[in-house]
Amino acid sequence: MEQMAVYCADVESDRNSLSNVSLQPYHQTGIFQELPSYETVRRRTECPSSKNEQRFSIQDSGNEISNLQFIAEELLLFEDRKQSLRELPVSLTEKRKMREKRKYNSGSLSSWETWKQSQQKLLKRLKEEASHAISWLELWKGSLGEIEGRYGNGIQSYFTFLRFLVFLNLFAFLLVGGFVLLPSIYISKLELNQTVAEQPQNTSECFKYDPYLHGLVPFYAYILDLFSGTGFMEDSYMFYGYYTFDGKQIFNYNLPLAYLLTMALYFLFCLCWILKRIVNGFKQECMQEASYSTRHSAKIFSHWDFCIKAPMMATLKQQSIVNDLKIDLQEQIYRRKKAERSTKDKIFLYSIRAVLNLFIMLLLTGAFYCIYQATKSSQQFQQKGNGSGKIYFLFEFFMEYLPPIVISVSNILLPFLFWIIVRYEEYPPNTEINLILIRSVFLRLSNLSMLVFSLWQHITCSDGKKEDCEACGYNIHYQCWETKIGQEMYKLMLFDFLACIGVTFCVELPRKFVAEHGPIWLTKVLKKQQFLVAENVLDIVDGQTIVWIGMFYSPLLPLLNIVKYFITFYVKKHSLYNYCRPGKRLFRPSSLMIFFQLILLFGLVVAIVPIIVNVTLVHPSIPCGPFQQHKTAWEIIPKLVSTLPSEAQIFLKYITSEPFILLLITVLCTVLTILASLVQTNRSTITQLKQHLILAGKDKRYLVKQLSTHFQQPSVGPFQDSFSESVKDVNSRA
Amino acid sequence: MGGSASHLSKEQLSEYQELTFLTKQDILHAYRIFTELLSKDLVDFQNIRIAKERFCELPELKANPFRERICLVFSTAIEKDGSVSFEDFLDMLSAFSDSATLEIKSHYAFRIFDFDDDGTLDKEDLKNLVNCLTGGTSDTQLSEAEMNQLIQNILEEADIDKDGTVNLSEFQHVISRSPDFVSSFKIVL
Repeated sequence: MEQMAVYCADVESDRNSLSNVSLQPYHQTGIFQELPSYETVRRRTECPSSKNEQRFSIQDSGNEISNLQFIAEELLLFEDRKQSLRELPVSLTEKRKMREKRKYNSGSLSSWETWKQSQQKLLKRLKEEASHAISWLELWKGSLGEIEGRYGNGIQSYFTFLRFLVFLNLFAFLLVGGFVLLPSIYISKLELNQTVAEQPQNTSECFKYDPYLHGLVPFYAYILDLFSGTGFMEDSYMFYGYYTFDGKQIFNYNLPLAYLLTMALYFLFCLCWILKRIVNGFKQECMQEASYSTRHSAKIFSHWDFCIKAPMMATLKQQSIVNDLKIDLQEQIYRRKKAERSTKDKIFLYSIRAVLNLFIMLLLTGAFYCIYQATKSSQQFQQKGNGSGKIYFLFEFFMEYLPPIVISVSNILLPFLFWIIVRYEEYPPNTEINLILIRSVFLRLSNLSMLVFSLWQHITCSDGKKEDCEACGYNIHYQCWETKIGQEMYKLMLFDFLACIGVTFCVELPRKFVAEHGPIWLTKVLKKQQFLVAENVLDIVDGQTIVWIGMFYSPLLPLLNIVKYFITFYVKKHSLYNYCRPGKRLFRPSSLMIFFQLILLFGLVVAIVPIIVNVTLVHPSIPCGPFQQHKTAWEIIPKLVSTLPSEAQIFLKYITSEPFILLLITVLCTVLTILASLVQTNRSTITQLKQHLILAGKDKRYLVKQLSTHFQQPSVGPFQDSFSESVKDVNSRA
Repeated sequence: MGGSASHLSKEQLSEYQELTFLTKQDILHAYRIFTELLSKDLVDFQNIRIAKERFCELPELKANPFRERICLVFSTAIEKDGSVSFEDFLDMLSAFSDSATLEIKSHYAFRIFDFDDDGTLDKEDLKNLVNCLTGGTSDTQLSEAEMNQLIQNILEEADIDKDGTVNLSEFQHVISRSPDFVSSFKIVL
């Protein structure tokens, strides 16, 4: 037969041709080209590329027939699934052909159906136009695209995260503004002529509160007031103390309740949103178990950013990919070495690690003690130093800002020490970096909590001087203690912002000059500042935690934060373009986003705990604030509940009672057990299916090879003999 | 480029919008760039092909080590020389756009990475791929041992039926577990 003659690639009619062909990789044989799984890739071109000379001419004729077959199959498929034309991975001309075929096949439709189809198309078009119009409103879209093009996805994720935080703060401001600020302004306008006749004139100590300085005021007092939130700033909408209005008489608006509920709702909303984003990210990450991970291949296949335009950045990306691959291979070697370690070595290593961890704990304790002392002396100075004109401006400024300065110093110094220490602990490179990051996160959040804790100690007199708290329920020197906390947070935020700008222009700019124009020995040591994504993200999460802690006591803080983040975006962008070089370490944007959301969640928890403690346990200030007349701020809620109808009261009582909560926990545990056992079953199914695939693949290879050796037989000669011989040959080799 | 939009009729625009993932602005922007590359404004621009080398000078493709493969994959020229027509260009932008589905992107990525066009990713293809990723110069490339180890790792992870190559479904399986792929397989004009 002609076809058989055409099939002979190497025309050697002796039996050695069998051995030649069976050594050929099976996916280059003729039979393989015709397998359905291969065809799904190859046929999706208009003209099959015939670079391989070993392709047989039956291929081309076969392709004609099978092309039409393929189109018919695809038509069925995509009419079944109602797939749109644009989702087919073929060229435009092929799509047009498919569309013609579809129209031809579907015949004449009733006018109702054609009308329906055209309406659907119109709707789709409208939706696209609408989404396109909305995307114009997206904040910083152009800048983000530019950064992505120049520096890749890793660095862009920092700026995307910054934008997310801006939206969080915007939402906070809108909530607080709508439910607390606007009613307060309205009430205050109405109450201008009314005196607060309700409150009896009480001359006891607890009612003495005056935010202003009296007597001779030094000239710099106003500037100091601006930076530390005292004086004219304290007596404004900025801080908690100003919200003494109660709209109950005027139009039945319970302002204290609105204050409390708005804050609670906002924190709940933040919690839900962040958790949702973490869960979405985890779904991808946690699916990988050790035996089933596709880390390396996923890296190779998806790591190149196709959106990079700058050649310099492309070279940098290539370098970082090389680094990353080498680190991965090093880790493999490390793991092999680890398995070979002797017991004596292990004990030695673990004892070193224990000692170093202990040392780190000591460092942290030292840092906490410094912060505690700094807060104490700052508070003492502020209590004494009112109105005494002989203290200099700079010194006063320094003492007010002592806690933020100490915190910043510890945030810079200690991670540097961590970096030195971690070298001696002998972890694989990726674990080292992660460990430093975790320790830095812990350090920063604990510093903040330490500050809040020491303030709390002062306010509730837990540090010894019990007699100060007897009169009013809180420290008598701190009339309006909530405003005090708000002021400390305001100072922290301001200092953070000034430090960011200061570092950019006073450290990075000179460094750039030195690196570019300095002597050679200096440039080798001191290169341009690296743009480290992780450290920058820790900075902005820090800032956000400060705002969350301070939000309850200073409702306008989110608005200031929005301004701060806006300016930070442009400053960082300017610094990235001009003063920094991109970091060499390769990041996967998806794992980065999870990391950011996780530390944001920790920050939120660190912020919520002090607020909950203060709201439920500490006596609110008597001369100022919306909760003046209550014993604790939380008291409002039970009072509200008692005014509800009795059915609602019984219902709420039941929900918060123990039996109900126990029942809820039991149900949740049951659901969790069911899901866990489902996971187990799926895992064993996956293993079985993988085995099945391997066997099926082996079968296919065997059959393909046997068929191709069979067809390679010359047509001359007894068919049966050569066939049995070839079968024997293949059997002996298998 | 005042009257350039006049060569693209409304029906053609809406047809392109229906058949690709591009918006009207994207198609017009692509048209402007295409005519700039042609350096003249012709009525039958749809039948003209731009040579591969000229096309690879586009700023979006210049820094991309896969630019030649991209041209070859999306080109529908009969001569197989990688020359790109306007519709091929639209195909390319559609596959690389934000709204393209994961299936389309993984399909085209597979074809781009398949350097010898045989329908599977064998060891040679993977070697070429890694060399493109690490840069062409010898000091940035991996050593022979490292390369072999890396390819062995990849095949261990991705080759499910253990035939020594990665075919399309195995590739799509790896891609579906890599959430970065969609955001990195993107070209925006």
